[in-house]
Amino acid sequence: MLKLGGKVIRIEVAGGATEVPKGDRTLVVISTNPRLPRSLRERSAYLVRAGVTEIPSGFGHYLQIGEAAKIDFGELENWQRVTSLSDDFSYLEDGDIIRLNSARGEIRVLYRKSSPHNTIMVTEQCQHYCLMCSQPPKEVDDSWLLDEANELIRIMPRGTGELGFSGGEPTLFGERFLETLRLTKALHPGTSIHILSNGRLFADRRFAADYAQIRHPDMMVGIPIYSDDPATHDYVVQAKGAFDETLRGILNLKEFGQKVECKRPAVPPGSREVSVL
Amino acid sequence: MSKFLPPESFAATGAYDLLPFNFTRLEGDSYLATNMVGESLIVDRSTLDDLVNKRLAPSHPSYTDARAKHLIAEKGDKASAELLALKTRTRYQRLQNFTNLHMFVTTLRCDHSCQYCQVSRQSEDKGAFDMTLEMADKSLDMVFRSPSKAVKIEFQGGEPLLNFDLIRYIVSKAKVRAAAEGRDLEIVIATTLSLATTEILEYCRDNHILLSVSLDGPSDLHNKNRPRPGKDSYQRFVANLQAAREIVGYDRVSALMTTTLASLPRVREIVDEYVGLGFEGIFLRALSPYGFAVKTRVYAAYDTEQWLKFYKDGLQYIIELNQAGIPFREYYTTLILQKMFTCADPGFVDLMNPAGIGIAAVVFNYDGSVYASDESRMLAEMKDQTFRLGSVLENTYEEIFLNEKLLSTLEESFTLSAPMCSECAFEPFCGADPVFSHAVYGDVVGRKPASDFCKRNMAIFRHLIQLMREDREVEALFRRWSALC
Amino acid sequence: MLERVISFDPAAYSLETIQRAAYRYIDKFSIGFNVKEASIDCILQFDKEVDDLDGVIQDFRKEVLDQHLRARIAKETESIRHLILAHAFSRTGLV
Repeated sequence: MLKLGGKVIRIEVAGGATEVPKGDRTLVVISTNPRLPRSLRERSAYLVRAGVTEIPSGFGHYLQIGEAAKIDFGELENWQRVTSLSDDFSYLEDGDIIRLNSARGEIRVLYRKSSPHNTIMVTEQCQHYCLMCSQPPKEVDDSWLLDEANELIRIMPRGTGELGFSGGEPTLFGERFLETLRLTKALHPGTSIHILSNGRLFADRRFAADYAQIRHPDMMVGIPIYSDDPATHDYVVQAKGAFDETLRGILNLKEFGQKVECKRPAVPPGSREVSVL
Repeated sequence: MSKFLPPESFAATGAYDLLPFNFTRLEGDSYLATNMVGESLIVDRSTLDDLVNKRLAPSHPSYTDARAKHLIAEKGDKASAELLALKTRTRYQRLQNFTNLHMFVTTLRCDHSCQYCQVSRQSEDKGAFDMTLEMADKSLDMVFRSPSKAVKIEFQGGEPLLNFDLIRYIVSKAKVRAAAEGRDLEIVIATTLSLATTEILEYCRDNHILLSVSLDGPSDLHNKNRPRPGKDSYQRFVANLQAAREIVGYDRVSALMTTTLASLPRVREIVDEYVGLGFEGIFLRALSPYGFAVKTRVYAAYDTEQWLKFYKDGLQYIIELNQAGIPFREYYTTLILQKMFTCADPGFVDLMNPAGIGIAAVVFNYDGSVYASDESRMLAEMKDQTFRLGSVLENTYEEIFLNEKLLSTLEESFTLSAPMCSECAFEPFCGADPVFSHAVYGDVVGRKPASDFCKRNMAIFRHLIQLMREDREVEALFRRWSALC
Repeated sequence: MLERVISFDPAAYSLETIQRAAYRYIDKFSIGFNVKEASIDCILQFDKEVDDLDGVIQDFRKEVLDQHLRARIAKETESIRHLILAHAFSRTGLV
C-alpha cells in the first residue's frame, strides 16, 4: 500500500532564510526531467533521488528522497525550497502532483500521472452517516478543498484519461461544484469524469438540469443503493428519506439524458440486499 | 513439387516508362525527384541520369523506390496512372468548395498601436472605422452564395472586440442561415484578448467560437511589440488567456506570433514562453511586406536570411524539446510536412496552388469593400487597390468573384505553369503567393530567382529534408507531426 | 562589369534548354546568345561583384545538363501527364 500522505522530514529555504513561511499550502507538479524548459521550472518541484549528483537549476522547489541525496544549497536562489522526504515517497514520478503544507510539515499526494483512476476528494461533509463509512463526515467548512481541486485541475497534465470526484458528498457545494465540473471540461475536454455521489441533490430538478447543461460527452454519476427496501437503505446511511430522494435524483438525471451508474456495495450483515431495481 | 513460385518469378523486368516528375539539386551530387503529387526520392546525379535514360537496372535499390513512388511504371503497370490521377484529385479537392474562409473586418479601431500593424487605427470614431449593419447583411449574403458546405467566418480588425455588438449580430444571423441551409459553420475571432470580458468569453463558449490570439514572446518583448495605454498588453494577455481557456475551452484558443527585429535573437525564449503558457506548438511567421510594415521600415528591418536563421534555430530548439520529452510542434513546418507526406492539402493560404486569394479566403472590409485576401486589404491601406474586388454595396456576387484581375492573377501565378515553379521538385510542397509578388516585385508571378518568397520556402524545404536525412529520429518526429492535424 | 563567354554544342543542347537554365540565374548575371552552326555562345554579364565567379559558371553548366534531362522527361511524359490531369478532374465539375 502506497503512503499517500504524512510528515516530511524537513523543509528548508535556500539562501539562509531561517523561517519557513507559515500556513503555506502549495500544490506542485513533480518533475524528474533535467531538461525541462526554463519557463516550466519555477512552478515545478525537481525530484532528486538518492545518488543523483547533477542537479538542474531554476526549479521553484526541490524534493530529496532520504538522506542519501544531498543538495548543495549554495547553488540555489534564496526563494527556492528543499523538502526532504522519507523513502516511503520514492514511488513519486514525473507529472505527479503533491500538496506541501510547510507550516505543518506535511505532504499529500493528490495526483498520480501513471494512475488511470485519479480521484479528488472535494469535501468531507455529507448528509449521510453510513454504518461502514471509512471516512465519517466532518462538520467543518472545508471549502478550501474545492478551491484546491480547482487548482489541481488547472495544473493537471493534459491527456489525463479519467478523473473522479468524491467526498463526503461533492454535490453539497451545489453550483460551486458544477463550476468545478465546467472547469474540468474546459481545460481537459478529453478527460472522462466520474462522480461518486449519493444523488440526493439531483432530486432538485433545477440542479439536475444545470448539471445536464454542462453537456459533457463522458461524465457519469456513480450512486450507491444499499437495498430495494427504503427502510434498509435509510438505516445503512443513517438518514430518513434518503432512499426516496436518491431515487428521485436518479430519475431526474435519466430524464435529462445523463449517465448514471447504480452501485450495490456490500451491506452490513443482516441487512436486506438489493434484489430488483 | 511446391505450388509456390520463387520470388524471381515476380521480379521487376527493367522495361519501364517514365511518369511525369521533376527534380531539383539538393546539395553536391544528390537530387530530389518528386512526382505530381509530391511522392519523392533522393538519388545521386548518375542514378538520375540512368533513370531518365532508362538504363536503371531493376536490381538498383532506387529502381524499386522509383516504381513504388510512381516516378516510373513498368510495362503492364496499369494502376500507376490511375493512382496518380486519384491523388492529384485529392490534392485539388479543396477547389470544389471555392471560398470557405470569410473574413469580416468589423472595425479598424484598436487599443494597441503596434508599429508593424498594417491597418489599425487609434480612434474613437465609430462612424469612420466600423462596419455598418447594412454592410454586414450584404456581406453575409455573399458568404452564403459560396458553394462550400463548410462556412468559416473570421472576425478581424483592428480589435474586433471593440465592435462586439456587430459580432453578435453577424453570428446570430449566420447561425440561422447555416442551420436552414444545412451548412457547417465555424466562427473565429482574431483578438489580442486585452478587452475580453467574462461576458464576451461566455458568449464565445455558448456559440462555439474559436479564439485566435496574439502572443509575441516574453513580457518585455510582447509589450515592446504591442504598445497600448498602460503598457500592460502581456499582463492582460496572460490573465485573459487563462480566463478564455477556463470559459471557452483550452483547445478553443490558439496563438499567433509576429516576428519583429527585436524577436530575431530570442527565438528560444519565445518558444519557452509558449511552452510555459501551455501551448502545444508555435507558428514562426515572417513579417509580411505590406502596409505600415513597409512604410515604417519594420519589414525592411530584417531580411530573409535573418529570418531563416531565426526559424532554423527555433526549429532546432523545438526538436530538442521533443527529445527532452516535451511534445511541441512548429506549425509552418507541420503544414509543409503534411504536403510532403500526404496528398491532402492543408489549405494554408500562402502555400496553395492555385493561389489562395479569393479562393481560400475573401475579406469583407469595414467600409464595404471586398478584397481577395487579408494581404490585399493591407496593400489597399497603402493606396494600392489592385486586389480590391468590389464593394458589397455596389457590386453583385458575380461581379466580385468573376473579377478580371482575380481570375488573371490566379491563372498567371498557377505554379504548374509559372516559370521555374513548373519544373521545381519542391512545387508539390509550395504554393503561389501573387499578392506578395505584386507588393514586392510589381507583378503577380515574381522573378523566382530573386523572390524572397521562393528563397524562404526553398531554404525551408531543403533544411527539412536535410534534417530528416541526417537523423532518423527527426524524420520519425516529423512524420508524427504531419499525422496530427 | 565582368563578362564571360561559354559555349555549348547545339547538337547536344537546344537553345531553349540553355535559356531555361539561364532563367534561374537572372539574379546573378544577364545573358546574350550567339547561335552559330557549331556552337551556341552564351555571353554572361555579371553586373555586380560575384564572390565565386567560376563556381557560378560551373553551376550554370550543371543546370544546363539538368534542363536537358528535364526536357527529356517532359517530352516523354507529356501525353500521360495530360491523361492524368484529365482523369483527375473528370468527375469533379472543375473543368
